[in-house]
Amino acid sequence: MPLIDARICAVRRSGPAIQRRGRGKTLRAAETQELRRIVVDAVQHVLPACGLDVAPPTEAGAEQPGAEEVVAFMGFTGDSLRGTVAIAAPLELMRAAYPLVLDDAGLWQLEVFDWAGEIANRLLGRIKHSLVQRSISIEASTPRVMLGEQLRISRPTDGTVCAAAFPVGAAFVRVWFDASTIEDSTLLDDPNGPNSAPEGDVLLFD
Amino acid sequence: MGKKILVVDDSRTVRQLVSETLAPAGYEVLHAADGFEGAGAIARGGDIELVICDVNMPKLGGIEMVAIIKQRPQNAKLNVLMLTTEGSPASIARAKAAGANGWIVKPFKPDVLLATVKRLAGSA
Repeated sequence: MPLIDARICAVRRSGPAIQRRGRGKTLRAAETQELRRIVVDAVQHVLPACGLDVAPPTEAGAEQPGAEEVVAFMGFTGDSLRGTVAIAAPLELMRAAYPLVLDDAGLWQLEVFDWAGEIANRLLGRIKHSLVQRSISIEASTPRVMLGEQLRISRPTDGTVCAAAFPVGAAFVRVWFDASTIEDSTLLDDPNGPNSAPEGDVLLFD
Repeated sequence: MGKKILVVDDSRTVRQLVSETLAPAGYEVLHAADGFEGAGAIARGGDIELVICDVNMPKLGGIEMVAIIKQRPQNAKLNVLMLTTEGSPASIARAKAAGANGWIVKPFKPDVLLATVKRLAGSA
């Protein structure tokens, strides 16, 4: 049984060219606070729609000793912001959240990995939605999903915007969001950027 | 068999969710896991009525796939509906310029998706 999702892949090779940019710079405190609010709002919006009925977050550190956890990672970059988002949940919790009937005798873990990657994708999509409204554009990688026991992440750095655990029953979904800005750029100063298309609605072109 | 709808998404779960929405209405749903597979399926022909396509995929993204398939005159009238977590005006404009016909931000509502498919492809 492969433990790594078949969706593992390199950062997209197509799409807009990503230019070499300056060194990353730590966000200002106000920017970190606003970004954390955006991330927490996105988690609380997206995860319940994906079968994970999260309660308000606690700070990360909610260890789940011995539990097999699925963790999905995505990277992102843009003109003014770049970083990573990661989401981890016990395998059994993610299995219960899977939206279709799972074949118990089949390769059900791969289906759950796939769903974990899709949740990370939707979470970053929601964050991107909020950033667009502040005139910040990012491009995402495709997700990478892994399974492991006693997962730990390196201690928070200056770039850690959010490291929080969201209770779901007796378990936790853990979310990490790290970001840095580009030298000389100013984030979050434009609260009146364009609106993204709303979820579920249809736009038909002429 | 009903009209053929090609679903291009790197998430097998999403492809299955779309299938469970469209198949009961009589559509035959074909699957592709990235833009390369999708473009290949379209190039092989087979009377595909509509393509439902993700944006952010490995190997070849959805908007790039649309731009490629629309270069062929025989695909000029092939309708493409983007189904994605993305919703930025810039991405939507790129898709429209590439030749896509519509855009839905995930998660989709099954009744809305089915009504949109009927509008773009006709009844099964």
